[in-house]
Amino acid sequence: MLVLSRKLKESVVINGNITVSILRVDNDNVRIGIEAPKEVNVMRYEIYEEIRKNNQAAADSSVAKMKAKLLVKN
Amino acid sequence: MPPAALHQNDCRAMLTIEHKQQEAESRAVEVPEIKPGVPLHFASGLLGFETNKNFELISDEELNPYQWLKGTDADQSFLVIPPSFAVENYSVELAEDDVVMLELNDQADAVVLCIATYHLNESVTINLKGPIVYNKKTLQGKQIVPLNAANLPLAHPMGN
Repeated sequence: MLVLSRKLKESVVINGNITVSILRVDNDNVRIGIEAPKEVNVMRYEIYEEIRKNNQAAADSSVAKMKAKLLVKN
Repeated sequence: MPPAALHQNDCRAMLTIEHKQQEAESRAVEVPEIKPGVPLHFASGLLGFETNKNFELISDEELNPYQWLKGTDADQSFLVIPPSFAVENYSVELAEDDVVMLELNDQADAVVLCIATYHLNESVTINLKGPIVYNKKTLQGKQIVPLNAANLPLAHPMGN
């Protein structure tokens, strides 16, 4: 993990096309602004993890189901 | 061991051939013809599967109303279903960037599908928090995290 320190209003650039800016700093809350191309998904980590895991489980669970329904027809 | 060649007027020859054909047919595994699906492109892939960008959306009466979102450049495939089979009044609030990316100025071009998970006890749940939206004209799709995602369930149970 790359660790940097920034002050209020300063920014970090990722891959030349993603910019992360520090907009506001409270005691335990930091407001972050992110500019990125439309194709790049940006979201809170917890939501991403939840959906990623759900996708994985769905993909794993669908294999047997699809084989059963589509490959063996009576 | 192949039978000895029989004269063409020998009726035994014809019976033998017919019989062999019948045997061959009943031994064959019936592979149903699956109609070609709709090719969908996901420029951002799916969440956690960002490199899986190409899929084929296949319909089959065996699966109906589910459809098979089959991965064509990676192994992962998914069973999907329109959310209207599970909930009423489900609306997906798209961020402006998603509207632009999918060219959905006309809402009527949007198709919403939810990914289904089959559980060990045979129950099925669908993901309303991260639906798939695609443009039926451009066939470009995206797994969307709607603006109201915090209030939407990841595993909404399907009836029956």
